[in-house]
Amino acid sequence: MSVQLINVSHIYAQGTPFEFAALKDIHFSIDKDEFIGIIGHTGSGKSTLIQHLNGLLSPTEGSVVVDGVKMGDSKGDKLALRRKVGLVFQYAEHQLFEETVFKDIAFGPKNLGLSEEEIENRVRDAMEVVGLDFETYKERSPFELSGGQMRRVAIAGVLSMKPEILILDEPTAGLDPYGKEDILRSVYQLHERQKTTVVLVSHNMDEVARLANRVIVMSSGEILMDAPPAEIFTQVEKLNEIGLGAPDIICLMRALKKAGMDVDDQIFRAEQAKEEILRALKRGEGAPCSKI
Amino acid sequence: MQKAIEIKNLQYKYSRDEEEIIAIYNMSLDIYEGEFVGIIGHNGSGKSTLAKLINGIIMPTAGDIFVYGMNTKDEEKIWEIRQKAGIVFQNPDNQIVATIVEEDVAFGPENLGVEPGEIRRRVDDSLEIVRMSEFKDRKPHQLSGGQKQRIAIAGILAMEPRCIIFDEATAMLDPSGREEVLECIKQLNKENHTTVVYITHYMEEIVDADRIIVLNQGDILMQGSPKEIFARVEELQEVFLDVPNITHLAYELKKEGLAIPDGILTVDELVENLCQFN
Repeated sequence: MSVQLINVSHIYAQGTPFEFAALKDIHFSIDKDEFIGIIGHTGSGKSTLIQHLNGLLSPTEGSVVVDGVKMGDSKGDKLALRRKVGLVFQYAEHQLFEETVFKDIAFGPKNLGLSEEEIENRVRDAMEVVGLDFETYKERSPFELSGGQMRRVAIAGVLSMKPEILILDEPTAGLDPYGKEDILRSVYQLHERQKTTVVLVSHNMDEVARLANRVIVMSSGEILMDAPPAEIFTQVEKLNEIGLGAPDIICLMRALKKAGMDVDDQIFRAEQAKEEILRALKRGEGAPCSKI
Repeated sequence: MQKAIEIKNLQYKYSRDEEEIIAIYNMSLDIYEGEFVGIIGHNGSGKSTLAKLINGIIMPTAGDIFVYGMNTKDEEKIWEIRQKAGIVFQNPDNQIVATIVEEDVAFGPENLGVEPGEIRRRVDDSLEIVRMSEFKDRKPHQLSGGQKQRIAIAGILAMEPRCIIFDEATAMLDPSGREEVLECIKQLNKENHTTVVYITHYMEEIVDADRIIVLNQGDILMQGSPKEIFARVEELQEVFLDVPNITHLAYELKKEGLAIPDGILTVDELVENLCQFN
């Protein structure tokens, strides 16, 4: 499945004194098998952008093309798109409402009119993906779970619709390091095993650096950069300029190089940095580092 | 040194589905005037419960908490306790009550019955400290997350507290918003000598703290300087915590046999240590 945004602009409160252009002439497409990271500071247009991908918002100008067909404004078109493109909002656990975990996750499939058996299968599968044991949690009230577990129930609710594209808006915000890892691992496995296309919106550069195979940087309603992570995260000055900051690791590698160590200063993943530093030290004979 | 907060054999339990849950388990802790204390722990370790207990939002089921000598169980002192030890929560949108920035900041002192001239002074001073003076006539919903959170802090400052508890106050902010709020808090601690209790998931944010307290299952697992705490990588990982990225890389390099000291916290420190081998 592919979704294309063609010259999309979105203006909030058009024609009023509060008129605000949240997206300006956006042009991009998502293709099968991609893992896209979207970064940008608050107000850069990330949330507005992703809401166009599943028909929650319609462009003020331009068009959304799904699998080669231009989206109309009809309710039917939008519903069909929402079934294929699942959107997990920020703090998705605030949207839990059912008495039990099972009922909450089953809500979507039930509305699709699926059989009881199919509904149960879907809930089971979705819970497995997010790492919640079906028997242990199905009858629990979602409101008695920890923050991280609630977040996972909310994600499972979207997964139970079997979306072809999964969009997550800051899925790890407010979770502890372990809860973060859990969710990221689930999402990554979903991408690897079930070939679900993933769009991950995040403030966390390290998260995106680690997982995405394509990174989109948003600033003031425009796409500033759209490239593989290696091309994005090596542009430290540009990232600093728009207030995002580069991953720690690349800052370290640059500082080492500046201090005279013979290392590749384009590395931004910790594992590679370790190997590179050990290699550089083994090579050894380099000039002594200058004072920092 | 004067104790800002004194926690004695504190316990907090509640029941859920007839099952008893102990959120805080016999904890004793002193926080001193002027300290910057970082508190970390995984979700469910008791961090937020502790914040609510210190602020008298919930009461201990055993033991006592004294805030500047006042017991939180003393109903007559509760407003004075909340004025002395303010709390800033995670979500700025839940903490702003008025439709104009300066009115929001004035809300606290107004309720304390402070006289108008004094309120004016406090509002102006508080906005100055968080560097939001030029926004005083704005509507809060037009501000960024970081700006809103600084307004929430100004609202607490206008009560003239001596201690502020930040319960994951930067969790919902983007990197620049987080930095802006954290800078403001550090400055409060350094220049105004406000005691800061800083609860967070971001290990990077507390590398400059005077002391770090690690909570696990409602109890203090360890406490010490950032260097001491972040040197204990494996123990932290056991309780589902992590260390800052740079600290972790230094730890991995050390495991490979490089003679690097424990608890490296910054890029500069690591560069300096690695350069001696080159």
